Amino acid sequence: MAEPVRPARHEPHPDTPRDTHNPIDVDPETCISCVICDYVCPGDIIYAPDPTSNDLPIIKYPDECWYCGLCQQACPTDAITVVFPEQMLTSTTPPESLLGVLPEGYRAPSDRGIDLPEAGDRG
Amino acid sequence: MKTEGSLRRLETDVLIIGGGVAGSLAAHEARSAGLEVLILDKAKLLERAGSVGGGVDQYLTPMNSGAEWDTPANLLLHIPTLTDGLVDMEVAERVVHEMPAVLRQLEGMGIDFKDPDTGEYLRTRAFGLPGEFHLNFDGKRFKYRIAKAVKKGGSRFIGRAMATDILIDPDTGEAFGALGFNVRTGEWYVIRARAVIVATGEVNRIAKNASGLPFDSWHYPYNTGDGHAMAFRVGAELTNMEFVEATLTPRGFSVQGTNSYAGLGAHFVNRHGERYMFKYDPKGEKARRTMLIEGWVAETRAGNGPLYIDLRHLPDHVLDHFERTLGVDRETLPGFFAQKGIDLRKDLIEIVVSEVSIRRGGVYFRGSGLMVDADGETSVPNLYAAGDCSIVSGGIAGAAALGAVTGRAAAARSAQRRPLREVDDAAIESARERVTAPLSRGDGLGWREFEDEIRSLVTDHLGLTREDRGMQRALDGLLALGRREPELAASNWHHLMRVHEATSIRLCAEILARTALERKESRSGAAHRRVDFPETSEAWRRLIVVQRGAEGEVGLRHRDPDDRVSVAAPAVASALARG
Repeated sequence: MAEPVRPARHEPHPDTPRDTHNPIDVDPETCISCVICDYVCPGDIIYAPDPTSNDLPIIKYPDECWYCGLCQQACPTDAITVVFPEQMLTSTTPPESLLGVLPEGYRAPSDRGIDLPEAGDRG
Repeated sequence: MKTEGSLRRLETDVLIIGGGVAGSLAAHEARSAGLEVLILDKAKLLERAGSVGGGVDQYLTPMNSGAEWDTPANLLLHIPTLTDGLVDMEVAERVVHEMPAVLRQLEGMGIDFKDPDTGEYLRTRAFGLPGEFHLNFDGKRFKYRIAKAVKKGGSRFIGRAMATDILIDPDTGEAFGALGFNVRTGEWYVIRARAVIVATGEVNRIAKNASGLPFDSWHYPYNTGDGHAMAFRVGAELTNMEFVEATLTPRGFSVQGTNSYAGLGAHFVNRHGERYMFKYDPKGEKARRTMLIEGWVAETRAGNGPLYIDLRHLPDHVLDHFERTLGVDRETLPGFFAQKGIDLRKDLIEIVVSEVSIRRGGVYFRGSGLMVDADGETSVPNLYAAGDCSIVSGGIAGAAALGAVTGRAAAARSAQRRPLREVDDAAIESARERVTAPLSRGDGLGWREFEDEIRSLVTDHLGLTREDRGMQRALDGLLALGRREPELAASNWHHLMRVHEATSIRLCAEILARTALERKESRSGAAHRRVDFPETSEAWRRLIVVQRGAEGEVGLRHRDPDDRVSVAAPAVASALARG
């Protein structure tokens, strides 16, 4: 009798935002449905399947992944690949937007403006 | 197996909340003294718990190798300068003097700090330190080996356990245990202990980054200031909470490793090909981390971005070493470069500033968190703290050293074997009701939305651009979010963990806002840069101490950091006097 077809991905927890990227790609050909990825994940993101089933691990909270790769490192059959989403590989966030904003109409107290002061810069 | 809601009562001599490097070393020391030890952590396995469960490649320590610079005393001489004077030298002395011994102890656990090629210690200089104090090593199994030694020693461990409350004896004010729950099963733990050590790490997920993914953080995103918040609620003092830390990271992936690039001789260049760091610090790329951020920010503001790390000039053997160790800190970094199509030998690596976190403000030996004395005890009796949630943060080496000190002190205290206090079941029940209330709120406020709001406020007004009105706006927003906490909802125990993490993050952000507003100067480069008070003022070389007020409010006091400088260290005192 043929093996039942193993779904390549499992559905994340229903609270997960739609279209969340799946960071943990599990190869259905090589995964042996053990519990190791579930145990090593520090974020409680991967859930082992029912041990009596032939299911793949469930990536239950994909948006909470740190991309640490402990699962990839620990997998005994090298069935796991950490796959980065487009927004990490080609970030479109302007770097300047991470610098913060000044309130409208703000005027610096001196001509120095936001230049670097010398004091305190000892290294 | 129906464990949801069931309650397990446990007793121990020393209870440790957080099983990272600090908590594990504390456990090892306390257990070695013959005491019973119980460790709780949100992760399932002690081997993988904490910031460096996946590996680490740097270890900062003096080694007494015979070189003139290579001593605790010499490192200590520079700490007042490294920390811009905001350090408790008595605690720093204890930690730094402990470091060489802890290194030997870790080697005894089977950790190999030597370079596999040469069989020698490979030491590099970075982050403004006065010598080659960083050991560069393959620490892929670092935490794993520590955990094995701790478990072999007989410490007990409960994984997937989130502590929510520290138990305080109302008569004596002493800590005597903690309450927590299993993040999968909902089982409750009521733990009575003779001493409690908080080792829960720093505060992450507090600001935005280039990818826009909140859990894509330089540091471990599951460290969310839970220990800061728990200890604050029972009256412990915190300090240096106004200082934030960021790093430089490959654009799109907030990841460790700046020190490896800088230590091995990378050039940081702007879009004109200019090595820009020397404009900001005489140490160039080897300046303190906060100055590396400062340089990046200034160049970006001046329109000189994008900014890059350039490794192409490095000799082959250095690049070989670099490539071999690239995945030590973070397993997936080689995969990231491969998926992005970057060849380190041929391509420039674009770098951006990471999200900010409340950690140690970019400088070693000045932590942002719980104030402790030289035994690691907080202002709450029997409550200890070590690692990045404490006021001495020196990377994993600092965590290991203060962890060991704290474990010994907590063991000495517990060794008196005083009878454990009885828990007040009504108080336990009321705490459980408070903690689990989000489970019965149906479609209430989600923790993601709540946290996103915090990250926007912190990034816009409390990160790298600080000004009175903006910070006040952020504080108002954070207070408004605080009023909405009773609406937070969770659909299961896992989400309940995230809800409580989100409230810890909010409280720490509120403390950040209040203390950053209070400090009317700039200090430590990008860690506290006020555009309305751009100068560093000697009058502000004082600690802002945070403590919960009678109504639960965030109370602030000032303290002279030299109050507890040891008289036994005249050299240090004179270094401090020189400022």
